[in-house]
Amino acid sequence: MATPSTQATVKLQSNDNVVIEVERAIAERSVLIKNMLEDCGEVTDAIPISNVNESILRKVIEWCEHHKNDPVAAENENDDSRKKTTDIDEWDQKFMNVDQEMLFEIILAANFLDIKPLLDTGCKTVANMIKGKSPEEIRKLFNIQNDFTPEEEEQIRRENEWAEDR
Amino acid sequence: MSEAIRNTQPTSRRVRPSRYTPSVFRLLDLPRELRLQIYTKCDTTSLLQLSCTSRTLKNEIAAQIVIYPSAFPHFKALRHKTIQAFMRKLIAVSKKHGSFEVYRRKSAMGVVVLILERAGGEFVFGAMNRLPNEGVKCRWCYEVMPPKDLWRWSTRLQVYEWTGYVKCEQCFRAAGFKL
Repeated sequence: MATPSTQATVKLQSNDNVVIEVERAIAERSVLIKNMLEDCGEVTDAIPISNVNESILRKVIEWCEHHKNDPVAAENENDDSRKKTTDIDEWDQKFMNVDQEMLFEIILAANFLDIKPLLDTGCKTVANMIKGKSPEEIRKLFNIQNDFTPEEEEQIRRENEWAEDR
Repeated sequence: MSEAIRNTQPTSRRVRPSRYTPSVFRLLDLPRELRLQIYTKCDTTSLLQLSCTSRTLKNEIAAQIVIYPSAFPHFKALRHKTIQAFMRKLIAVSKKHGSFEVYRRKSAMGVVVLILERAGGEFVFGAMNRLPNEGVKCRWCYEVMPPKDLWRWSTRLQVYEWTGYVKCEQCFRAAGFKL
């Protein structure tokens, strides 16, 4: 492993070739970047973030900046606390109040950059979008093709009466 | 980015407000492992409704049913054979059925039962709108546990949900646990 670096900022290059300079501590919210910096030590060139375009990268950096002082979850916590709730804090709710395409891209970017809390927030946002909706509304929301036969659909409707007549 | 940004509102509203843009989220274009992560955040009702949208999603959700702690928090407890037998007494379900089914019936006890079944024919969730009359034998001392200890009212679903207990209170306390 390389000697730990003391550099204050790092440059990140989006896949549309825009270079963004950020504080190292902020960039290190990404486990991918953190590991890369630990392995390489001092990095003067821009780090290519090949799967993320400029607007999404800026959005992700904005999230990292806001959350830069959050405690990092231990690896062995087994994500229990994250799985048990779909509560999202107010700032994150506003942050995720974007169009569906951007939400989709943020989730992919969080996964690629290995930012688990951001990925979690994205997944919770989608889970909250499903809450309280009927299958037909969910189909519209996610553009899902109904591939059930009419007989299967009728059976499912009967099975799920409980959910509709509450 | 400057420190000042930290105290401002997120830029989402200024960038592209959702009400002005298409409202389709490409769930099926996400990698499968990310869809599974979304399912882990869903509650029971959401997961069921989602599984009713298409055969593809129904099979995908059912195949990984063990990993949805939000929707099926008592999955492990419900796999206990005493509870399986108890539920099977309430409702007859063929093991040949599909992997993820919901049943709503009036049982012999006159209660409405809501149960899911997975591929192996096991029940993974049980709820009813009235407390059943029968209890279940404690796994350790074989004393019958009263129904009120086995079912908890869910204000969200408006049904009684299985508590997940397989041991009676005395055995539970004797083992050093706190209720």
